[in-house]
Amino acid sequence: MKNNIRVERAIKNITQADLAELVNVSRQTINTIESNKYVPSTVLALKIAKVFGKPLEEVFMLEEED
Amino acid sequence: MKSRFLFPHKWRLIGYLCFAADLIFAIVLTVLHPEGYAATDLRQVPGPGMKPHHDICIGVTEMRWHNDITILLIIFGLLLVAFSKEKIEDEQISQLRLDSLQWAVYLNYGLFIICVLFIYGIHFIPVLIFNIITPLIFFIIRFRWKIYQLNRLLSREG
Repeated sequence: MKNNIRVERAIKNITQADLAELVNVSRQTINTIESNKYVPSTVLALKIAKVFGKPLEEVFMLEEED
Repeated sequence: MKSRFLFPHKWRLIGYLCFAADLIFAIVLTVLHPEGYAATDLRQVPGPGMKPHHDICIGVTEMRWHNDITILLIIFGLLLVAFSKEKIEDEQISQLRLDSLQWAVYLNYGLFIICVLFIYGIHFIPVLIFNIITPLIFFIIRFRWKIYQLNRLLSREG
């Protein structure tokens, strides 16, 4: 699964730490999600999409091998 | 995701203190009983149906008490270190915890199987004794290592 959290963050002009605080996780977790090392739970993915005010599919998308 | 059955974050320090206290206690006992504490204990325990000598009996009771304290203290300490919450206990930490626990159980049984195959008789007793604490120790090392890696990744990327 890919995501464009980094882009969305840049648009909204917030840091990893800000986003982490908004969705109640650690900065490490946001960092590993952004670098595709960790796949978040549905709840966390929905929370992140809500912060950016976009539907889930615009923030997270499936890859070929998924 | 809510993590259940975890201790508050600050209790981890108590865990480390218990572990340190136990380590010091163990070193003191090794100095006092260089021939082996457990061995002394075993030798002095009267066989079944034998009436123990009064002095020995007192010694044995005292040693039993020491043994109980050391074992309980180290288990209590390690449990607190292993299962205290992280500062921010989120879903990734829960997953790491679970992964590390599985990893530790596999490693522990792997080593145990090797010991079963190659160690016989009285020499097997230390293996059993170490097995009281090794699953927790393996878990703690692996879990802390994974968290260290996460933090290092973060500081590298700024």
